[in-house]
Amino acid sequence: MASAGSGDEKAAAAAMITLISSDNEKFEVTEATATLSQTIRHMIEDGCTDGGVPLPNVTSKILARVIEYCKKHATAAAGEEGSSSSFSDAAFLEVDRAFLEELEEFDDAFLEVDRATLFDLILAANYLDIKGLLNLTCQKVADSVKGKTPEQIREMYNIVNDLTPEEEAEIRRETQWAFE
Amino acid sequence: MEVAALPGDALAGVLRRLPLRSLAAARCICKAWRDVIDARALLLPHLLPHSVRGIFLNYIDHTRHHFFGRRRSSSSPPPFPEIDGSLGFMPNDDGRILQWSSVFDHCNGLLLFEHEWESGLCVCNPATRQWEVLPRPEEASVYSSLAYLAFDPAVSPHYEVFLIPPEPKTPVPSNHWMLTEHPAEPPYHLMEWPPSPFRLDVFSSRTGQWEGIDFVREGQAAGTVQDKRLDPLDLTMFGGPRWRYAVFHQGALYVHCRGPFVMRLSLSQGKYQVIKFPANIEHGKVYLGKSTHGVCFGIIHESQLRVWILIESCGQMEWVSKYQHNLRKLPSLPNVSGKFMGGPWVIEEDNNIGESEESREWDSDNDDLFTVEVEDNENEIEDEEYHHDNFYILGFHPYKEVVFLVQQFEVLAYHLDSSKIQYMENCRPKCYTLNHSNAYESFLYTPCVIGRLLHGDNTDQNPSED
Repeated sequence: MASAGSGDEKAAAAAMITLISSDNEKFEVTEATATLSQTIRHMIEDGCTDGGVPLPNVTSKILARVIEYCKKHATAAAGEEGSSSSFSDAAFLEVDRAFLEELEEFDDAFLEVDRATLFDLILAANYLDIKGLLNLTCQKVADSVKGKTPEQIREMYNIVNDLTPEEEAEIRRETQWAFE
Repeated sequence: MEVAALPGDALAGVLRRLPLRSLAAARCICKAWRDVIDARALLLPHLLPHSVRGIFLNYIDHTRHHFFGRRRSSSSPPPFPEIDGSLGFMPNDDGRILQWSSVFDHCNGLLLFEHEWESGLCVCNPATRQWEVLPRPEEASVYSSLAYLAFDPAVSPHYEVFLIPPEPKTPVPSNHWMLTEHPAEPPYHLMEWPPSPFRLDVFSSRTGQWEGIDFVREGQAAGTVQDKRLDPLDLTMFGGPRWRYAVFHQGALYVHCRGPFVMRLSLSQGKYQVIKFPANIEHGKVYLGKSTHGVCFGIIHESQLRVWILIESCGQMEWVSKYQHNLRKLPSLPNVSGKFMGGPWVIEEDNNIGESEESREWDSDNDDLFTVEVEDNENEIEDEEYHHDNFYILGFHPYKEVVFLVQQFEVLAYHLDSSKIQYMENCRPKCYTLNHSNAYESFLYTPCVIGRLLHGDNTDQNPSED
């Protein structure tokens, strides 16, 4: 998990990256925070982050939230690395557990957003390739769809059914068991 | 920003987190959802075999098979897909339960069996309740050969059925005088076995027909017809379980043959290969199956369970010893099974007494297991020898390090890596009253919800396909 090419961990952690949102707002973040995004990690590896990383698909509002998530989880990742060496130490495990609980609470609170923001977060997580955030946000939407009838889902998300009656009948026939 | 505007990747990210039933229903929301699910084959991993639901069992001198599987509970919804192990969806005269049937083979969710309704071979999928009857093979007799299924739903919805004759045709007596004039022809018992080319009758669901296909041998023959007849492991006759199974793995069919050897048939290449047994095995109860490591071979002899796995590299086949366990450490099941509260599985009976108040789903990871300690019991051997030698392998779990063992109808799941065991239940149906001490044949069942057969639930409403 160490950042690529860094012989000196401390120097790498202290290195700052500038992220530029679509509305031209600049965010200074540590490399450890930025590299939760695989997309940015690759840019850093390729050495094309001088002068800032433009993110034309992400607004400042969403980028601020994404950075909030990454900061929290980067700290968590660092904590894990630190404690793994003294894995047998019960006290450390206790600390870990408390920290994981705190992280879960953070995630739950983080998801308390309106639907439009949630979808924007999915888009940003997908574009920036942040696995944890993508998992978290997609699961939230999946949970809202789970167990509902197709009619309820369409109504909830304002989806127009553009399938022909024949196509829909075909789908229901193919997986009849799903509609019983 | 609405969900409909999510690009395919992100939408797939949401959809792949849905449970199976919701995911299947999501296909009829709109075109975009259907296309994302279909293009990325999101349904496929759920529909391909991925769990063991039970075991189909045949019994000696008994009229029909029984399904030994998860107990149904009235308190929780049935697991998907619901399995009718008695194959009650097959047509019969008056809606009564199947009276006569025998399972020949199972492969990735498809069952090959004989059925009273239409004499001859049937293939069915108990998960989709679809079935079809095979035409009669022209020459080969279904009864003098062993029939095996080859089906891999991850690769193709089609399947093949192989008929493997147990020994070569005897020379026609009327030609016998000619043999004396051709001394170069070896006598029957010295003929090479298996021959090359080896002509086998193969049914393909793609063409709907049987075809004689020549398989050319690569490498050595197993021996002669005489060697095969002297196979010390010949257990095919009644009186004990049959242990000649086949495994279909990565496009090749591995058949346990009399000889004793394993024949590896490659349909696509029209070739076969003889794989000798891992050790010089002359005694014991052998079983060819599929585990997490691929093709595997188990034997129980003098209470020792040994398991080998088949490693293929550069066309060379090699058995690698993987486990060795002393079954004497196990308690004698018929003596202790009364102490258990009843296992998570149940044998399906004539009047479907599968229902139970208690909800017991077997979860090999989380269920209570008891570890079996080594017993320092000095009088263990004399008394228990009989019981321990009565263990047979019912099958290997294809997705976990588990082997199912049976002893006088008492079934247990044995965890090969931890030596933990779990009692599953007794597998003797009430209607089976004969004095045999074990089931005859066993087929581990892994449900598969794809692959189309001719008749059944989904096609019944479509008269054009009849």
